[in-house]
Amino acid sequence: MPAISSYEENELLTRIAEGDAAIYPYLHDTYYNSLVYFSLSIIQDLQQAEDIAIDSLVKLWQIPTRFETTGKLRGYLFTLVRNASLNYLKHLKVREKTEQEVLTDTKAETLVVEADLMHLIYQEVALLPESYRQVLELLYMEDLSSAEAAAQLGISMENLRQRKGRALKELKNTLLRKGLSDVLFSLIFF
Amino acid sequence: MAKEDLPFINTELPDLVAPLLQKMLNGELLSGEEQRLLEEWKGRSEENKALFERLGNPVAVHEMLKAWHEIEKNRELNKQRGMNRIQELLRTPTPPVHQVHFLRRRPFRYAAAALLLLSAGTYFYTTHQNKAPQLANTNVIIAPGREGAILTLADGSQVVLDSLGNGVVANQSGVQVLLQNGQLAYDGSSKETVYNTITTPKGRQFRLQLPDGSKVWLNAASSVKYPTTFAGKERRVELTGEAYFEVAKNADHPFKVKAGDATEVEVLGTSFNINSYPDETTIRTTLLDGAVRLNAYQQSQILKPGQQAVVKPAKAQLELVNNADLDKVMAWKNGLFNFEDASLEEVMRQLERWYDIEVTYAKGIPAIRFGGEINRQNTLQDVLQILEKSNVHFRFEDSRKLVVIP
Repeated sequence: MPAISSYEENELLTRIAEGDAAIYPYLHDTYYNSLVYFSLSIIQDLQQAEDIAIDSLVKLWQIPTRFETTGKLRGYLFTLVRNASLNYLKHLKVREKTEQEVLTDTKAETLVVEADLMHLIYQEVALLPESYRQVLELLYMEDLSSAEAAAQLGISMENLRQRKGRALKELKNTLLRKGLSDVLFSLIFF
Repeated sequence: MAKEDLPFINTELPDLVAPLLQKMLNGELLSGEEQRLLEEWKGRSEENKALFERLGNPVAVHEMLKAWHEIEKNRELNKQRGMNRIQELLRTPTPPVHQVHFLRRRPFRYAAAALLLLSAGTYFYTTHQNKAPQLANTNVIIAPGREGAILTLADGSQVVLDSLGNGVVANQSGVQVLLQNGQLAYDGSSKETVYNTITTPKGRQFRLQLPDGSKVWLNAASSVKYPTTFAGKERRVELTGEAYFEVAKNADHPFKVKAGDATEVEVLGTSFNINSYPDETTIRTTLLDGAVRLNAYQQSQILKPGQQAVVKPAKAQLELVNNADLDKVMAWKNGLFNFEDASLEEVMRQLERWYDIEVTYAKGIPAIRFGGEINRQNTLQDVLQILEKSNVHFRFEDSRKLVVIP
């Protein structure tokens, strides 16, 4: 999915083994969101999921790893995150004695697909011009009311209404230009 | 972590399936092969089937996207946290923060720099004995930058100001352009508005007095464009790169500096520095005295002395730093490099501009940060010798191309 080639993966692992910290931002941008999403689906605690994702990425530097074949880095990271998430739940269970849903192997795989898919869909919105994107984010992803969104952006309600209209049109056009129907569009902005 | 009893997560199938699901949501047609793969995936588990069904439900998709959005909001912040963790980790065996130790205290720094200049020859020689330093492969000594600039007149013709003596450089619609002790000034006024531009190439810096009496110090690889007579309500100039301004007070005619595409500094009579190099990711306006108002991306911010406004064009954002490091900001004007908490890349960009060189990086360069100050009158080789004490080395590919090596 967020496909990095096997060449890139080798290069990445080499640089990590050499103790190169400068590669971290790239690695973070590639994997961080998916790993947090994955952990969040298991433990339902955003802050904790963020910590687990960072821990897992940092672990690559703590214990530089090589794999027998390429294409395993992503799986390895998801594995680290799953293990840490389950570990966290175990402690939680001891403390709070709550029943947690069992994370089966198939469930973990499904969650990876879900995280990857969100990554892809979100990219479509990220391609919009900044001012449009802001409006859509506030209204649809943060569920603000029009008045709240306008206040946050420091623009008038009328201005907000115009920007929203243009943003939706822009997004629709992008999808149409690619020869696509607007199924996704109506899914996101129902 | 209880690794032993849990299997490795294999992402081979998810890698293929997620793009197919996206295609499906976009309403694209799937090939027979793709449909088969998707069906197979759906049949693999109850969970897969359930996810597939949820994707048909707008409310569910909306919730998923909102969760992703929440994560995205903290991505940058947490990137910094991850970075810090790794740097801390790498610091434990070999410290990645390197101080350029001398020149820490102000009274000593000039003396120390002079001392360094004197001893550089000896130092070079002695290190050569032990372990051939990478720098030894060039005989060309790269001198520091100096005063000089190019003046572009209204008709597009250019005058090189490096080598001219005192006197009248040009006449612009009745306004005399004068060079006095290496500083450019204007005399007289005209009805017609024509523009001049002063450009410093890499390796040059320059001072000029604008037609209204305001003073501008221009750092290397920068330019400032202004009219030879300020007519109209506002005094407007345009900056690329870095400059320090001392603006002549005139409440009736506000002074405005445009830097980058979206940043405007409105001056209310005052001294300030703007760093807007295109190869830096930010535009930094630092106020030393007076007051300025900064306008960028529909935001407006009044600065108090000591404050710095940071515009991030990539994010269309404006941020405020309360206690800016004024020594660091003003170092260039005071004839110094200040590498306080500067990354290797930041340091090298400054060297590129002042010594007119191009820098590339070999693989495996540690992420180091520096501290301390160095006199800008040192030769490039002297500066590099100092930096080499910090676990990073250099090699010249040719006389103007420098490669950073581990």
